[in-house]
Amino acid sequence: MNAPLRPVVDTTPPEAAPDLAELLPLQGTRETGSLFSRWFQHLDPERCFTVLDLAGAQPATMQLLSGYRCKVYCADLLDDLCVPGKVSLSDAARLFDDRLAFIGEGVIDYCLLWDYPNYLPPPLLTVFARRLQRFLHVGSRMHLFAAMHGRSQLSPWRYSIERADTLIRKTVRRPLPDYPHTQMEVVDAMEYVRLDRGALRDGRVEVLLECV
Amino acid sequence: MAMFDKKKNPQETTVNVASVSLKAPEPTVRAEPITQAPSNHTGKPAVIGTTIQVSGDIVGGENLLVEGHVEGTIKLEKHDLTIGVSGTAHANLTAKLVRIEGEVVGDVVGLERVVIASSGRVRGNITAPRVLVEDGARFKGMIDMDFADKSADKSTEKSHRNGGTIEAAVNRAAVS
Repeated sequence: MNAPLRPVVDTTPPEAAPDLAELLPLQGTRETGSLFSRWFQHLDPERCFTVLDLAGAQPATMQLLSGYRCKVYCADLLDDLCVPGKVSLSDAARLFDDRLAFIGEGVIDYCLLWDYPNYLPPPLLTVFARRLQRFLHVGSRMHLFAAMHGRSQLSPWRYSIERADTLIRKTVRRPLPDYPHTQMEVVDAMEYVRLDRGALRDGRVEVLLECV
Repeated sequence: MAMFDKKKNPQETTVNVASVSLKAPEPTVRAEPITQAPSNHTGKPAVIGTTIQVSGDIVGGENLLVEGHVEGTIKLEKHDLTIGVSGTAHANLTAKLVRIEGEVVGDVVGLERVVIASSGRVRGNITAPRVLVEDGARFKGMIDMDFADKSADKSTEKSHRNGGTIEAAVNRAAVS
């Protein structure tokens, strides 16, 4: 288990290529110690990989990934959340299929789910996990936030990756994640994965899952 | 869509259109291919103004700013394309540098770079060696940054991981 993460408010300009720094003033609160360092350590620069980012195309993440051979599928599924109680599970499955249809025949190596599971009640999380599964393969990895406990209050933040060991978070105008799931609840819902590594964050547990 | 095969001065801009129209008054006016002399001797891009709607293929030898509406394709392989704040393109775009400040629905190929400005809204696939996204931009689709012209043997890669060069990416975009 990694050491607990230490939130850092960074007022210094981010490291970036000179031509990019001018275009991309990256703002937000920085947090160090992300689990992503394990991903990037093992990336082969000669090999193309695929990423699904449910935070949409965020400046820092795209800037970082520009340094790699990769294909990034971006969508912000929080733009059209399922409304619990207003859709049946079969309708929810169709909604998820529709929102993931842009991936087409793509196969995802890395999924950045962020807080999305915490917006879904347990039955819908299970449905989402099953609909996502068809885009994954053995060895696909997922990163998400779970709650330290079921009573955790999670702020509506949007995350991006600035460096392998640094995340940027920004407050967004959105509802609170109303269904904070613990690590075990997430693993139970996503029955095709095993827990690879977790680390503590204030109110959140950073979770890395690997498909088996 | 009618296609025209005319030998042209590479510095000319050809708008190979099915139709060009002003938003008001209607109706749409059908037009022959429009060939115009370059207007960027002073460095200013050619402009499709806010009230102009173009339906068809645009090929150019100068920079272009779209503030109106374009449906079809825009291809400026050696020049820059900007979809301005009021511009909309339901089109496939290819240019050296593509900057999107307005709305694009379609596939975008940036031979050097694609920039989605904070006001930009894009739905489609982007292929470019480098993609910059400004804070506030909205994008749904796939960004392909697999541009490395590697000598490594790609035969061991999975079939879904198609390595490629810029030319290959352009060809893929052209086919699609």
